[in-house]
Amino acid sequence: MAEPVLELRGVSKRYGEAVAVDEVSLTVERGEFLTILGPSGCGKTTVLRLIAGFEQPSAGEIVLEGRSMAGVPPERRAVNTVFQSYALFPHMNVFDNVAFGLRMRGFAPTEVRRRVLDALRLVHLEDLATRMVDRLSGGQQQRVAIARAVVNEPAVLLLDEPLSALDYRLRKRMQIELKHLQRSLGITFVLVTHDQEEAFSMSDRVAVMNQGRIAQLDTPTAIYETPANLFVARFVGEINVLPGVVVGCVEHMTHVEVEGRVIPLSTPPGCWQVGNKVHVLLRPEDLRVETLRDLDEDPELRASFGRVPALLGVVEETVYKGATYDVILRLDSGTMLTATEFFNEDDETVYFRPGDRVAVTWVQGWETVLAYAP
Amino acid sequence: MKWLRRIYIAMVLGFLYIPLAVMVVYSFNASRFSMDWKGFSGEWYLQLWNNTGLLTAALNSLVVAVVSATLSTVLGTLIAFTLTRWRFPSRRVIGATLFVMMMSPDIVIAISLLVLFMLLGLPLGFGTLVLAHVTLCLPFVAIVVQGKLHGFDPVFIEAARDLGAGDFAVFRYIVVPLVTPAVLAGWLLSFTLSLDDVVISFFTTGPTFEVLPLRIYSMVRLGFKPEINALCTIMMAITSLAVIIAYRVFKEEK
Repeated sequence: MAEPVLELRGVSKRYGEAVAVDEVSLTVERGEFLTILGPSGCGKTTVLRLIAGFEQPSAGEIVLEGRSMAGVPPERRAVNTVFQSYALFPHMNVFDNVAFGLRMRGFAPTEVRRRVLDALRLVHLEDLATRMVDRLSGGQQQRVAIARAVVNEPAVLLLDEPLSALDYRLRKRMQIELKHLQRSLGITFVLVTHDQEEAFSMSDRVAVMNQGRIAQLDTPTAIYETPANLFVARFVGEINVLPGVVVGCVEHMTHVEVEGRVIPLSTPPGCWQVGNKVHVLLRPEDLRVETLRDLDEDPELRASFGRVPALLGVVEETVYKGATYDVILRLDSGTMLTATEFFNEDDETVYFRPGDRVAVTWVQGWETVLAYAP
Repeated sequence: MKWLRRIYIAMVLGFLYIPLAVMVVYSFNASRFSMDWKGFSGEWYLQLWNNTGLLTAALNSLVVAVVSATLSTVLGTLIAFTLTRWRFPSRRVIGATLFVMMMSPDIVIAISLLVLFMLLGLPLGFGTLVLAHVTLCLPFVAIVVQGKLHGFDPVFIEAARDLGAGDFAVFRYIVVPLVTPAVLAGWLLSFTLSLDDVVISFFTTGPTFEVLPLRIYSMVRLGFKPEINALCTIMMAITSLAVIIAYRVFKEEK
């Protein structure tokens, strides 16, 4: 196993009484794209600033390429940052901005020129080398900021919400470009964002942060499919949370009473005991909804509807989303659920109407069960 | 509406520039004694050139202005840096005293300095005059530069350090270029403040060292001479030139 390029060991940062970062430990492998995802104020930017050296940890240790960074100032760390505001030097043109890091490290002018032009070519800005940075569009400034950082070939490139100032389409395009850039350069990226879509589409692994701690660190799929706790579940997309009680554990089947119905869950044995209070988590797109009318009329549909006993309710409203639509329904117990339905060839209109009596079910095993937390 | 606006603009410009225009026109008046127009003449400019006393005073003024503007720019910039960069207990007090100094009537500053100089036994002359003008200009420089530093985004410093710049390199390549326009503005402000100061100069210079505003003041007391018009016209031309240069410099910076 190769040595990790970056390691945080129990790193904390306190400002007086306030704890911004609380015992964060993580390792980043060489060439990995790691995203720190979290709501504003969760400490994710502080983690980045600690790695960059703008802040010193109150406790714990940061190890970069096997060397402790305690007391090492930012100018002597092999990391570079792409700032949220880009922080391009307004009194320099594009070329001088990108050349700054190389010049500081004492490269010969011909070498500086060669590398800067290479970096500008990489971000498709070779024609704008002599332009002053305040004459560039937001997207172009973003590219200069990236070129200025990667030209130094850092061990780790830190990106602080780099795309948040761009409009939606440009942001999508830059996400893809950033990912390509990272692949082709092989540089380790640590990106901070509050946008889960951005985190999922670019990263190898995602660290979800909440209140200064890492709530879960895993691949995007694992975080979405099997969230470790309610915070992660709710932060990365919409989810339905149903309270339940474990009523039986037979062999590798756990039975949980949810909304007055006993439902078998495929949870490993030994996890739960009878009487445990739990949360059953279901993504809206995993729910299957049919009207009771259709189920009555069509035995085939009824047969294919699944083995999980259905929950009954009534449609409150439908929300059109473009490629999909959400069905918001109220279970007979009063609990609200959201289910996402797709349009397809034989179903091009919103099928459900407010007031429809419906049954809701899901494929057994697609649910996530967590210990009850108020 | 349009002509109303034009009249308004004409009134504003007239209010500002008619006195100057009158002065410029009369500096070319051939008449020595009356305000009647007696024909065009460059005579007063010639006489001015031969008036060595006046020229010496003008030169003195320029030297004092350059020296005191430079000194107060250096000191004022350092004060501004200290006040923005570090948080220390007396920071607010010092910041407030700058404003007090700026607002104080010239006569109060003048008298207090005179008393101080006499107490210290300093002979009044070039040295005391420069000290007095630095006292006058310092707060202006400090406040102008401080304003720029407050608007200065510290992320630029972080970005530079992130790219490998040490303290000196940050100062040399980032802070200095970004702050220079404000420092230059402070210098120009000090220069003009020093050049046209009468009250403070009157009390803090000695008989051996005469500056232009005082010289003009004494000349006018003895009776108005048309050379003064010529002299003031030249000074105005120099000031306009300085303003144009400053404007060009700042435009380049932008």
